[in-house]
Amino acid sequence: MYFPGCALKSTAEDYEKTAIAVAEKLGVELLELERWNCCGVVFNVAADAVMHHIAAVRDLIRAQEMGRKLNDNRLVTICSMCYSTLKRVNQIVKDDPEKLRNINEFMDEEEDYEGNIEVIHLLQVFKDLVGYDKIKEKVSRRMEKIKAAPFYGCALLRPKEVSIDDPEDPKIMEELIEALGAEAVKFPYEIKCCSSYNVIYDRKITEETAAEIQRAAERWGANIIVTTCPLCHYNLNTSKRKNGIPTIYFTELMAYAFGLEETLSPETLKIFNKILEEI
Amino acid sequence: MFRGLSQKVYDLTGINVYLCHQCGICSGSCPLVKSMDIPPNMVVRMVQMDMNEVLNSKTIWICASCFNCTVRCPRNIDPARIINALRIIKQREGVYAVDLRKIEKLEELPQIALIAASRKLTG
Ligand code: SF4
Ligand code: SF4
Repeated sequence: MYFPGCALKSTAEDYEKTAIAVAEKLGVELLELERWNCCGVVFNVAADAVMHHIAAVRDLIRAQEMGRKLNDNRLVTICSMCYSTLKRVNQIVKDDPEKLRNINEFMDEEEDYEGNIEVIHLLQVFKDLVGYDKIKEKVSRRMEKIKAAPFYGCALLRPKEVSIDDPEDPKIMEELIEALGAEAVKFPYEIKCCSSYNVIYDRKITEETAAEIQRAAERWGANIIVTTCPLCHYNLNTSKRKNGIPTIYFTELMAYAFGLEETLSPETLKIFNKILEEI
Repeated sequence: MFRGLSQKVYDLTGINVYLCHQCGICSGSCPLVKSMDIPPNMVVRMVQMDMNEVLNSKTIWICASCFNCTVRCPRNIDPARIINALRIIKQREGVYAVDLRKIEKLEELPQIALIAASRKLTG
């Protein structure tokens, strides 16, 4: 089962559509949680911030209910920020029985959360459950002209207790890009932060950060940036640079490689066509 | 050992700021340090020194909680959480960094940016 979250239902519709399509192609059925609410997006660090965990725990309870029917305790997240928030809250309540008891008591209209849901990210599903060999088999298009720079941003990698890979030297997306037959361009800013909600605090900071990341990826020879996060996607595309390289979701790259053009938006298709024309 | 600010930070997070030895690795790793008025290591220093001015710095709102500093801090004291604690101190005083009613181009912004901002930048 999977947790969509707000972004996938609005600004990042393309992300959800392609994610479901490529997973299906690989034999993974992503079932949307029957009911869900916003995860809260950011993790509150104060030790006494129990209130701020409620939203996420509620989602974990939803997953527990549905997981029982499906006999599966894995909750797949697609958005990086949902991943991070659900994973961290899950870990905290698992490690702190008293906190969990408090939360359960507070939400007395719900069943208790038992702490046995496993939160994973879609990239992990592709790597560990499907395997890159199987992904290779499904590629139906020549991809070598696409030089994709993986951009991990922060939420998937840090803090390291919830990281899906080595927080300083991640390879998970790079290997995926290569399995798709494209060229993976590892660049020094791949784990940088896109400046996150600064887009609201001070847009200039975000525009500058985005330009810096783009410039670095270009200098290392990329013609596209691939991300897992709807906010990185938005922020990196706010860069005001002329002819800056575009940022797309990793699932869009996969959909293209698998020949699932019908799931791509016209804008994304245009991006791919442009790359292929240019060279 | 704790006093004033360092006590408050300890109460909120359980972090002992005096473990910081001012190596500066946090500031060297920070992707947003250019836009900050006070670099992260100095924020930690000011908490050690109980300098309340730190609560008025822009840094505490600019920090994106990207946890680069946290991963790299050799003393393992989590500067991102210290900064977030300062922000929470301000929020609990009722001081917010943005007025959500005044955001421009609201419709275009992704919800995760709005919700994150409303939780990190307001109370
Ligand atoms: S990296 Fe850690 S020890 Fe070094 S200055 Fe920053 S907070 Fe202090
Ligand atoms: S968490 Fe904040 S202070 Fe630390 S590196 Fe990221 S933006 Fe800088």
